Amino acid sequence: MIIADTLIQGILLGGLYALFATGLSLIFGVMRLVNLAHGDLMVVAAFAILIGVEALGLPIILAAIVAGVGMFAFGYLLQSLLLNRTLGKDILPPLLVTFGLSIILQNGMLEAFSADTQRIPFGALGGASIALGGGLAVGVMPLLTFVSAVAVIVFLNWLFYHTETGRAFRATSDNPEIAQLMGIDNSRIFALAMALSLVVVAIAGLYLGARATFDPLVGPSRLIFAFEAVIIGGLGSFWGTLAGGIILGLAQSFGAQISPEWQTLSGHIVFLLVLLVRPRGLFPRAVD
Amino acid sequence: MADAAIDASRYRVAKSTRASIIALAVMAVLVPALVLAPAVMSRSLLQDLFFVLTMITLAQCWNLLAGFGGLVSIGQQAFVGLGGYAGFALAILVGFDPLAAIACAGILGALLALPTGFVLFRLQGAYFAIGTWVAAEVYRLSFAQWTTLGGGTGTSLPSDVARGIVGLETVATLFDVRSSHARDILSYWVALVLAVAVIGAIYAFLRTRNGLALSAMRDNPDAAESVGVDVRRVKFAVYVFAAAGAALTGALIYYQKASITPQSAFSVIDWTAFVLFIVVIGGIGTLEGPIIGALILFALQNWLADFGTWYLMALGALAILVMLVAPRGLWGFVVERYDFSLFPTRRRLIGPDTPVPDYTQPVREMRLPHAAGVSGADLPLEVPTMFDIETDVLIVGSGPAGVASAALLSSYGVANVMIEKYSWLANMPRAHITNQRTMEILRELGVEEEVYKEAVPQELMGNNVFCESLAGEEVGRLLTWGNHPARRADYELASPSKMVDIPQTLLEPIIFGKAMREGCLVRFKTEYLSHTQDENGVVVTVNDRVADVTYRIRAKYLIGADGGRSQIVEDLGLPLEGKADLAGSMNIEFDADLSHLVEHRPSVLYWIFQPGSAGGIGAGVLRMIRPWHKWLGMWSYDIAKGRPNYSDEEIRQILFRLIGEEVPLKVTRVSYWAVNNIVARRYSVGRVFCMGDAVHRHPPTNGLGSNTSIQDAYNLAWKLKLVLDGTADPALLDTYNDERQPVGKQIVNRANKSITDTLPIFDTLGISETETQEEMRRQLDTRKASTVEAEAQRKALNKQIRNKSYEFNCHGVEMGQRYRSAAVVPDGTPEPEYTRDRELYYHPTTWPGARLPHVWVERDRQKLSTLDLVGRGRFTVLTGVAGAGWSLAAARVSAETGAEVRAIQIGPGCEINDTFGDWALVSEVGDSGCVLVRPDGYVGWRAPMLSADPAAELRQVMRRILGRAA
Repeated sequence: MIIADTLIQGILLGGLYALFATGLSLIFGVMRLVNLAHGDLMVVAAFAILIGVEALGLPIILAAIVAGVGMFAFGYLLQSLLLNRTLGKDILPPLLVTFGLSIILQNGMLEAFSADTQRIPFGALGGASIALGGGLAVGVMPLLTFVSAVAVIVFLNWLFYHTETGRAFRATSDNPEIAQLMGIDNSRIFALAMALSLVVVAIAGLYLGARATFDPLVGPSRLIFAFEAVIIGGLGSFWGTLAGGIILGLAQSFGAQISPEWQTLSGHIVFLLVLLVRPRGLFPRAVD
Repeated sequence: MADAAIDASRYRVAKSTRASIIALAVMAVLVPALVLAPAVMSRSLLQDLFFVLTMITLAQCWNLLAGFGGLVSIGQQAFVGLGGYAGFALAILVGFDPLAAIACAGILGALLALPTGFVLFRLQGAYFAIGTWVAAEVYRLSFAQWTTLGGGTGTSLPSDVARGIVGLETVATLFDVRSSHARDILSYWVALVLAVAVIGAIYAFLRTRNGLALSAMRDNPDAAESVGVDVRRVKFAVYVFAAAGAALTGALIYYQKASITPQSAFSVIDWTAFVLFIVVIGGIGTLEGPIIGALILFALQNWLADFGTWYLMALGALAILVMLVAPRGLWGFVVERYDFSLFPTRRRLIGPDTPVPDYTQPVREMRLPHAAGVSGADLPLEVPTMFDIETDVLIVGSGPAGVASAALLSSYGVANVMIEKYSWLANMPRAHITNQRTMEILRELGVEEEVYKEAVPQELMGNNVFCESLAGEEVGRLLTWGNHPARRADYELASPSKMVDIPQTLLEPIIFGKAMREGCLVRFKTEYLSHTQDENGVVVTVNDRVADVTYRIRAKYLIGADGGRSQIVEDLGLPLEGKADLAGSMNIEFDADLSHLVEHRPSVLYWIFQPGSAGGIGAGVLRMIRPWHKWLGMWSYDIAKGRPNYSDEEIRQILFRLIGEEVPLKVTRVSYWAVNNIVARRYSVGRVFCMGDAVHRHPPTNGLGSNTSIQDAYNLAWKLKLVLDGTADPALLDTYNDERQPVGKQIVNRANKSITDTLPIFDTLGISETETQEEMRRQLDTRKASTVEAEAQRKALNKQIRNKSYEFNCHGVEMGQRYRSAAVVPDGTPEPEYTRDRELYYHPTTWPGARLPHVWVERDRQKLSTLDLVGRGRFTVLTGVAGAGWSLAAARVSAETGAEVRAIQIGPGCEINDTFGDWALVSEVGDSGCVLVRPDGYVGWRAPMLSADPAAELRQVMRRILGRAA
């Protein structure tokens, strides 16, 4: 019974990690950019939604949509003004610039919001659960998170494989030079990918803020989970990212059964084990 | 091949620079001062210095990983924390002396790096970076579980354990301080030793083969592997070393802090973010960068620490800015501007007697001009494996002027490097006529016989045909290139060498081979980008187009032999006169056996009058490349309408029209060129000398281009040699311009005039305006009529065809240049008059400034030319039976000036026998007189007879020639 419960909790937790990871997977897949500020951007989104709800009194959904639009614009500008200049053969510049960005965002948020822990109020829904019988129950929020993750992935898959924009994304990912020759404006495509990634980040920020407390410095630890999910799943496959998230969620859930300290640690260990066996993840899309 | 051995010994590899020697000296003072610092420093200052030293060590380790090894880690906190915890565990739980605990922590760090690296090395690039972070988290979470050492909340070092360090009492007594202060002093010393040792170890490592290879493989792992370096092993070793360094530093830091928590010990901000910013701001991929970065960080921290979070934001922004604007950091910026290196890891090739260059002189910005579209981050961060080359003479371009310079300078023993933008010598057989004066230079180089073997001999060169097509009607013929019996005598009398036809594609490799054998260093696929010069030399920035690496070559002199589109001429701003793009012409190379059309009139050139052919170089041309199956068709186009775009079939039709029948043929290449009429008004500026097409650009008529280029090289080479070995004053080099520029002007004019000389033939035939073959044929028939008009036409035609001797028998232009410059000392006699046409006929004379006349003489039953007696980089005094006084004088002047002057007596009973009495006829001096011949075979001075003090006279003359008169 405990095992079944752990299994369900683990899978649902995987949904959250998949949501954290999908935006990362998107830009990693399209432009091989490792965004070390990804976690902090989720925190920024969470704060944005919090402000919308608490200071402006917006309904949560509206606040999330506003934050999503804002993050879209921010992502587009961030990529076109800053990050596009760092892309190249050398991996150091993007790593360093996003690392610097991460430091700036963390300390900026510290300055603006103090180090106090926050939570996005989700009302009654936040604690509700659905009984499954046999003593099992699933929380509404975890379920909503998982459904959102699946919805985001379905949407991105549709976008990638059934639209003109998606084709440009894939073309640029496969061979940026050739894509450019075919008339694709790489820098625009990259900016669009980052904008889209930050929309997903806004959704992730909503659940990050709603499901647990957060503070300005929580980004990096969430980022690690996101990376682990992406890498376990394999580069460039959104369903792989979901699988990676679920594997990570399961590892953490089972680890937590040993002792609370083991939750994160067992996730890391499973991640390292997966890498030992399959350095390119479980479901890589293509040779990179 | 004794020469080769000597050549090799002329170079050495330098691993140090003057700056590095100064740096060593400064270190020799600074390090002891730092050791003694605790005696005079406050405790807080000491702690600050301790912080700076530990950050330098961490930054050096990270820089070794990322900057040199290309392993970007964001998880070095794993080993700092590990070291800290290991040190605590060993000191508290095992009871080690803290110093021993620190050392063992370093070993433990290295040991744990083995399994960690084993896992992480399965990952590449960004995956590796994330992997290191996850590994650090694993360590952090694991140590947080270690309840004996406080678990998640950490622990403190009991004071009795902390005080247990060896030497604490001694230091406390010696400096008269409390034990906690003494602990800081000891920690500081350990930090100092650690920093110096880590820097020293990294420096020593980077100078080894593996160290150089490490940076090479960061840029191209496959290439590094292919030269026999095991990439993974070296990288792994670097990873383990960096881990050990971080662990040692971590153990030391936490011993000094005396308390530890997992959060602080494994802090990604403290031990990776700061370290990363230090290295990037200071200059990644250099040893100096981390030191500077740590000092900057410390300064910023002191000024801005009160601003807390703002300080960190500013730091993040600064790092981003540096990465985007100056990706090589502060020190990279310094190095780029001043080529200043305190810890040189590159090797430099130093030529003979090269003084250490003055590195304080700024070097112009060396960014690749063509890389404007490449973001700075794409450029290699630092290329320590690429040599900065030093040499005496750098030759840019490997065309006729370049290879001749390389061969001549090398044979004179002058260190030189030749660079060429492309991967091999000429790929098109453009230049081909090789005149006697050029052959004489090749004779001196010892490659004359080799050229004869490859070349088409003079006898097959000269039935210059004018016709409507090769198979069609012949309008007239002119015996050219000295093949008319009357002219053959002129040619044979003038020189020991024969004129030949050898395409550039065959000639250049022969001269190039000579240059290589004599020790020239060549770099192909290396493009000249820019240069700067000062009183010490020239610094040329070049790009290796194979590796896309930009580096610098330092030379004392630069030869710009970079062809008709010379960048050097443009960079120097040499004034050009004349016009470019006067007419367009295309070269069609093709294979076809045309023997049946030419065997009764073998020639290099067949001029073909066709409707529309009067542009270009005056007519359509079929030129033999190799007899008689490789050909070049020349056809003109209207340059105003731009380059034509002919189909393969149209090209074939052009050739069929030129040939006059549809023979089987295969077109191998089509290229386009323009008729230019340009000469530089100056050939040189300071230490930069231009030659060849760079300074004289003209059509191929008269076949003078390649010849003049090689003769330019011959004029300059000996002057460079004498100036470089200190014998001559640099003023001698000015005479290169004074002597060769007028020649360039003369030949450019001549070649262009020859084009216009063809047009009257068209006019006389009445075919200048004809538009169809039929119309032209009718016009050609008019000269066959028995009318008075036709007779006049025939007469005019005959005259105009003969007039083409100015293009094809222009012996005076080929051989007869006379120099006037400071390197020619007049003997007071007036210039001999030209008794025949000065362009068509060569007039031998020993008048100073003229080329030494050739006659055959004999030594030990061996037939020699007078030209064989001179040259090879030395002066020669030719004198007669009564000229023994000149021999003594030459020996004395040689010894005094350092310039070798060899005296040779010609006459009965002398070393050289004037067998035919010809020398007596042409020498124009008496038996006691002398002719002083310069190393390039030109007469520098002469004396009609022995004077009272021949040594004084010769000394004065030599001093004038060497520019040392005043």
